[in-house]
Amino acid sequence: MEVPMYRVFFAFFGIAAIIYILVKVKKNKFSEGRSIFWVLGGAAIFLLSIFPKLIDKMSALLGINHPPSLLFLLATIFIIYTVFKLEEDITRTREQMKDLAHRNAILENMLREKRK
Amino acid sequence: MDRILIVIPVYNEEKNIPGVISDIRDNFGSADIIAVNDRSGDGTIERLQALNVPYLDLPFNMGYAGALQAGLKYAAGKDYDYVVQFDGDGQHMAREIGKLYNQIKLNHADIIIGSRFKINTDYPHPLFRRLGSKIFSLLIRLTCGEKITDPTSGFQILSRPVFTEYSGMFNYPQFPDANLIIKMLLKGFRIEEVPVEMRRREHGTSMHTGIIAPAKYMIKIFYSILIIILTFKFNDPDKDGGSDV
Repeated sequence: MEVPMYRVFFAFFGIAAIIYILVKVKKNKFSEGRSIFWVLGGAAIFLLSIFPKLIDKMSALLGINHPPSLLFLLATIFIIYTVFKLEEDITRTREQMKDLAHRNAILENMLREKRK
Repeated sequence: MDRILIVIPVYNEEKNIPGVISDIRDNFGSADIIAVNDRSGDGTIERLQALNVPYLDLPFNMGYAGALQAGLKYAAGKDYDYVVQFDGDGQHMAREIGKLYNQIKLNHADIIIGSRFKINTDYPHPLFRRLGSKIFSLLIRLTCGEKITDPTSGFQILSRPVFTEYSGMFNYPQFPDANLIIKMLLKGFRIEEVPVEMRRREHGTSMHTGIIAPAKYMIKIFYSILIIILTFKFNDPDKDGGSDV
């Protein structure tokens, strides 16, 4: 049986993605906690390129007529979840930054008052 | 004698701030002042220095609420008894602070709001603002059963438990108006009003001008109120519920 080129490509792509993420974590450029999610994403790409029938089976199980739409659905859920997590992080970071800025302004004021 | 701090958030108020400071010094000189400079682009900071007013200088622009909260943190750290929120644009009158202070002492309330609508004054009320205030008043009455005639008034005196709470609040609202009043009432704080006079702005423009900005403001406040009500209906009221609008 001949394996189509695109499946080979995506299998390599999945592995490359996992390696890329792990290297980033090793270099402390990406948080360990966050990376799990992305490594799982890379693993999913790898698995699906090796066992493409998985998508067909899952689609049949869920009653989806057109299996590729399940793929798009999963990808969309992945992206929306990621964006939501990012927003959550931004909210928290913004609050923390605001608090730091407040403390900084108060400390500066104390310094000025001491110098007087 | 109670220690009172007057917190004045300022953003590009170089023309108004000298008048505001001299008004306070002439009419309520016993209180301390802290101005919070919200990264003004004009000569506000030089004016404050020339007037010898203690100030906090924020490293970036945070908007009215961010500046106000910095002042409240300062007050909490310095153990003040009361904080008066005072606008830097000359709308609030220092001689009215005494009314707020007397009432909070007399009635042991937590917040006293200086209301423009409790009695008829010659303060000009644009239709939209007036309508907004009416809707917010109604919402407060429906949710908390309290009558607050001027929920958008920033002229308030806060007791220590209140400003301590505000200063530590995660997601202190971008517009601390009816939403915050409802939240504090639901938490069991006592809020009252006293009629005050206010002036027109002398220089510069208000943060609520145009059509889009007030519309966004209304939507954000409604959303904020919705979240507060949901939090109190379905959660432990001691938990800090709120929104990030």
